[in-house]
Amino acid sequence: MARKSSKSGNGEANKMPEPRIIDEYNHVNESDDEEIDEDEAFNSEDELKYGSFFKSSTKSRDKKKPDKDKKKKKSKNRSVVKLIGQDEEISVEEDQSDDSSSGDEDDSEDDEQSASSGGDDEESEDWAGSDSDGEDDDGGQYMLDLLNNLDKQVPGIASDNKSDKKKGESSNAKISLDHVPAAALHLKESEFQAATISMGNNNVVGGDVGKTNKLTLDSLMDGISDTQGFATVQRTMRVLTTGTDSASGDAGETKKLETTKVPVSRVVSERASRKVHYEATSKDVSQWSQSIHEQRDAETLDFRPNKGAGAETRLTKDVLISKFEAKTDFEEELAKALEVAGMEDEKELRKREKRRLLGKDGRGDGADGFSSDDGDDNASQSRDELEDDLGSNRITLEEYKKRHGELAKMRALLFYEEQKRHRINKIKSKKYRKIRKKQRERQKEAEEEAALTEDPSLEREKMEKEEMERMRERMTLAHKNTSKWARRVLRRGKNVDVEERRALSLQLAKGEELRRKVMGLENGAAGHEDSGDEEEDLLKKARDILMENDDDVGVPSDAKNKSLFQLEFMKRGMEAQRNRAKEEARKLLEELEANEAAAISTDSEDESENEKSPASKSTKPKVASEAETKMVLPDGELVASSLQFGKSDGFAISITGNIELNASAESKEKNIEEFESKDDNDGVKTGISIKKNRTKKKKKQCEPKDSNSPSAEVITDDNEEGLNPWIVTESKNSNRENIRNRATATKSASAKQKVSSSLTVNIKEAASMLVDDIKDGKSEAKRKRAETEDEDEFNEESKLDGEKSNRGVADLSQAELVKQAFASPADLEAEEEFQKEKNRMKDRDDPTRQKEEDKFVSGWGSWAGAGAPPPKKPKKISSKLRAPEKKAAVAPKRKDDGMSTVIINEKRLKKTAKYQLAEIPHPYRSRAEYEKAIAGNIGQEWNTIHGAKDMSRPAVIVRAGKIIKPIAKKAKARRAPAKF
Amino acid sequence: AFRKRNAKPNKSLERQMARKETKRLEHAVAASDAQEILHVHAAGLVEAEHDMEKTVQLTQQKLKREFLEEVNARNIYDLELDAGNGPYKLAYDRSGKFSLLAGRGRQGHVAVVDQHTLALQTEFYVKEPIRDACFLHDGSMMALAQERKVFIYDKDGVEIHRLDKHSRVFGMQFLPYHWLLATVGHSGMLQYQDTSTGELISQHRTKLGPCHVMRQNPFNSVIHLGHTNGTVTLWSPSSSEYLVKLLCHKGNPITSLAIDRNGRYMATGGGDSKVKIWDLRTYKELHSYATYGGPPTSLDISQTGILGVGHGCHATFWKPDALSQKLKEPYMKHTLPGKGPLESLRFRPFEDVCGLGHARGIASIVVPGSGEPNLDSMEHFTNPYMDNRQRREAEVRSLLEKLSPDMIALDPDVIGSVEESNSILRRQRLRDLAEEADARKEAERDMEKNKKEKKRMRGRSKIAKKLQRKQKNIVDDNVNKLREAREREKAEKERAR
Repeated sequence: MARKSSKSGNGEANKMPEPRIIDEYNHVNESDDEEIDEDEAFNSEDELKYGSFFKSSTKSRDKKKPDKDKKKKKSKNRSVVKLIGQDEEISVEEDQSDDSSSGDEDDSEDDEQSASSGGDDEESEDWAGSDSDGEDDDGGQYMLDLLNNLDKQVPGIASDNKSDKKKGESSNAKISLDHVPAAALHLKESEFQAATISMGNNNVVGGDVGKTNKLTLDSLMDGISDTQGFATVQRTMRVLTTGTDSASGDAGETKKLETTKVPVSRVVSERASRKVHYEATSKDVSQWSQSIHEQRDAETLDFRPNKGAGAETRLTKDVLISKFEAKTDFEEELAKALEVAGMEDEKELRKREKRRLLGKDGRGDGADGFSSDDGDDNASQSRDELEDDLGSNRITLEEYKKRHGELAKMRALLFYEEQKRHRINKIKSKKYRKIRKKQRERQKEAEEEAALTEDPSLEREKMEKEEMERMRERMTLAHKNTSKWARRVLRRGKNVDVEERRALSLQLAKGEELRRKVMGLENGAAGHEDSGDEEEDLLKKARDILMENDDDVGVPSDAKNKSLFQLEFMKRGMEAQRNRAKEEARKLLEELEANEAAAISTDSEDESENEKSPASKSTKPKVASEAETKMVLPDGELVASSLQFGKSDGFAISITGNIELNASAESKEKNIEEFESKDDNDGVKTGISIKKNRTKKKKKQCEPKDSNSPSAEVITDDNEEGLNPWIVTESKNSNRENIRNRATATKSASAKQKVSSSLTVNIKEAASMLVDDIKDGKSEAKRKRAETEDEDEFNEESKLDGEKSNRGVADLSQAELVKQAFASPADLEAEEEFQKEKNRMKDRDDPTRQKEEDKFVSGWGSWAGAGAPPPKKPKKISSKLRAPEKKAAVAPKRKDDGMSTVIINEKRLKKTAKYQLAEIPHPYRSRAEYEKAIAGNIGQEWNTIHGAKDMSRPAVIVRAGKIIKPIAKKAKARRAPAKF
Repeated sequence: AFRKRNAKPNKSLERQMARKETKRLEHAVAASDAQEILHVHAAGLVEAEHDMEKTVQLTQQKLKREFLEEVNARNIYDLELDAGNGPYKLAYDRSGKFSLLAGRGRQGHVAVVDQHTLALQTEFYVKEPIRDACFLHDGSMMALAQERKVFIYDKDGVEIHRLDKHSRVFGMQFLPYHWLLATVGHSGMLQYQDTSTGELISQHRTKLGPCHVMRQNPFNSVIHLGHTNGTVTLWSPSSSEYLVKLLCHKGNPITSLAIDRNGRYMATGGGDSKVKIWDLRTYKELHSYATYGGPPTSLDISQTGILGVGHGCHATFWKPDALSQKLKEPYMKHTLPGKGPLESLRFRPFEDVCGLGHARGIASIVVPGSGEPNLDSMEHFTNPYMDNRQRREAEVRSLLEKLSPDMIALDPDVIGSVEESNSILRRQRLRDLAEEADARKEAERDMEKNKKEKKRMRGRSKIAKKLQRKQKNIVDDNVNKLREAREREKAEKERAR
């Protein structure tokens, strides 16, 4: 109760029935308060400013302790009774009414009800009714009006009182004249009284004294308390006050009395109005948009009275036919002939045809129970008439359209439905797929088993297939680290736990192993791969036998270890047997190889040249005989890999062929079998010549002489090898070793290197030695090339030919070679001159061309003149401090780039440019668009008359004097339904 | 200048363009349909019936005797003229009605022959060797490049103009759509003269010495010059430098040139006895044909694309396919033994006839399929049957439709298009604009400088005063009397002294 004690003057703040509420927090000094006139103290303006604030504050307070307030209210009312004393009755009544109103509040009844009950009460307890009823009625009516007005206007309670007074003055002058001064007097008195009382009884009723200071409705109405119908007025006023009272007591229960809201600011209201107006207007205007769009899109606006008349009068085939009349003799004759033939009328003709058709149909349909029309001619006639012209005489166009539309709709619906179903049917669950797959597999297995039991030969096929699958799996390397799991593990890095890491490494190892297997299989099973062929098999066997013969001297076999075979006769017998076998094998080999050679010889020549494409067919003999070749025919194999000569010219020849040298005895007739050379630039520079073996061998096989005694050759060649003058750095042993290495077919890189290095040849010498022996035309060309490279004079010439010097001489055609050789100086001069001019032109047009300017002028920053020390070099600035270097501007591409015999002048044609546009004109956004827009000719020369007219039609066609109406608004056309 | 790349689509424009495109296509189809109706004739080539027969073996005599009708057969003739007047240059007008014969002999024999009636229209001697001759816009005017100057004569042989600026001309071409006479000659100066206004449009120095070979590209009116160093240069009046330079025959002079009607192929004959075919879109050599009996002295491509080559005393004709691909053997052949190198070989427009100007006169032969079978009546001066009224009409219309010489460019479609732009051209454009602005300023300054000062004194030039002033100087009897009187007085005064 600190509040109460401290602010005794404003103690009425707790009591809310008064219209003027003064907040305890916003209090003013008592002295100030007294000086201010009540009417002005809290006028409507103040209300506008602070009213809401009070409301909210009171509300919040109310919510806190509504019960307390009620109690206090009651106690205060009582205290009022005690204090005032003078109008005891009234105050009592007031108390009563207050009680009743509070009771109303408790019962949560409507205001109206309470008011009406009040009315009833008034009538029943009309204790003060000294005046006539009519007067009483009048006064009540007046007060009600007043109230209504109050409700309507609600200009604030303080002003309420004023308006109250005014109303009273205007409508009922008598009352106001009588009572207002009295009220004023009373007010003054009471004020005074209250002050004195408060002075006197300060101790007695500390908190409640201040209440009397304030102007209350009750105190105002004191003046009219003796008038007729006062009770009603008081009651109704009470309703008002309780309304405010109840706002403090029970929010929302009874009708609130509200102040007039502050009108919204002009800006806001105008904005709102603009918005609304805009919406309305735009809606209104949009009715024209359709027609505007149409007009805008229209090519021509035709305002002529009968537009499109030209189209109707245009001659068409149909028009001509319909107007046709036989006029000339010939036409008449024709018409007559047609008449005779019965074709005068198309309708008749059609009818006849139909009849004929129907007659046939009738016969056909007779079996189906179709009643034939032969019996009733009239009926058929009528039907014919009905059915002619596709029955168009039976249904109207609208009907037809309607029917067609329906049909189309149905069809569309069906179509959509079908599409939908089709899609949905396709969607199947994962599980379904899984099951289906398993099912399929099982079925397939069963089938296969059944097939196997029926036909055991299929087993092999199956095995092969399985093998293939396995191979494919290996090839694709399912164990690579590309699976989702592996990738995830790898990404996680070291965070992976040991288990998973191990799994991964295991997988890696597996993958590696498989990969190795694949490689190994290729090497190891090379023989097997090709052994499918029976002939190959035989061949191999024969060779094996032969090989064995060669080998068996040094290599002890199992048989030899056996004691039985150690016996002399056994040995001899075996020897004989072996010889026989050998003989047979040789014969067989001869035969087979002869066959093979015949087949291959035709293309062997080409093949040897096409080293890039080691044809698959040739791999067979190679693979079959590679190992054997090495052993049987250890030839003077010569590998010169990536040998560079003619260093300056920038192209090299790598010789990757075998050069076989025969014994000196045969040296005259012997020659180079092969001299394969190729351009380095080709990029095939492997440096290894393994593939060459086979081609060489093939050639050998072609020659019967060679194949007759391969073993004999072995020796000679072997001997020869050491003497080979071509080979500069090599030892016999190492060579053999290398060869053997290769025979074992381990194609490791190191071995390759060895081979190539050991067989490196000085080609330059070799070439000079070869000169005499070479007979082959092809090799001659090669030699020529070799020579050309070495000889300077040719080099000079080739240098002159700027472009062609990049190519090898051998690549040039015969004609080009001749041309080059006999190029006249005039030719070259012309070309040179042309090139010079082109360069000049290029330079002139090149915007990036910069004159070589010496940035450092001597004497600038250093001494110049005679005897001056040499100028200092510019200081080197560290790269950090240096200004960033400008990017070298790239010269724009010229049209004649890459055309050696063309100069296209890129100079802008000033005069022609005036007929061109500098920029793309407005509506178009790209050059292509613009060019498309102006493409095509619209003149008469290129079009039909109709076309030319159409394309050059003016945008607006109008007769002079025609009044053009403004555009009418048009409903937005709906999109037409889809047609099917 | 800056334009957004991804500007939002302009639907209205797109609709408009789409509609335009459909319209254009529709009309194109209609036009082609109409053409099918109108162009009923097709150019037919002679075809061999079996493998053993070859069209090359077909001689003119055989053709005349066995295959041709009377009307066509009379186009086969050999006109022998005085030996001293040859060799003869031959030219046809655009309609193919008239032929112009010009002898290179000292007499300067000129004749115009009506090819329909084979009647001699005009014949005269200019008493000077004639280097080249051509008709102007139609058969009624011709230009002759004589020893020193170029002269223009009318159909009756009356000299109309002498073009003094064109001296020692070796080659002439008339550009019908621009009304330009282009000449080149001993000085290697290419000159364009407007024959409708008489203005010398431009002169370009080729800097490549005397030039004998000149042809126009009928497609874009660009002039092709063949030079002695084996290059061919392309020129337009709007550029003082060549547009394109091709090195066609290295180290050998260009002897002749021909360009096909569509401007796609060019055939060049060089001193190396080769005829090379070039694609003028890519400027690449497609293939070449070798000639025998001498280098190709004259080349021509007919309206249908038949390539005629005059080499030595032979004329060889190749099918239209010979331009696009290399053919093994020619279509037809004709030999004029002993009549020396063919001076000129020209196809007659709209007829299957080829005229050969040789040392001793002219010959006319029939090459089936060489002439365009369908006339285009919209094209001025190409109707061989036009009457006088039509001719007059065509003259006026053609003058009205005359194109500006500046419109000649390699690609005729550039007119009205947006200028090409790359860094080089942009720079040049800016420079040109600056130059233009400078020139304008200069001109304005000159104008101001040369402006005549207005005479400020009033009343002086009034007509009455002028007359008065004139009256002052008139010497008549009265003045004489006065003068005499004054002199007498003077004499008396002296005597008095």
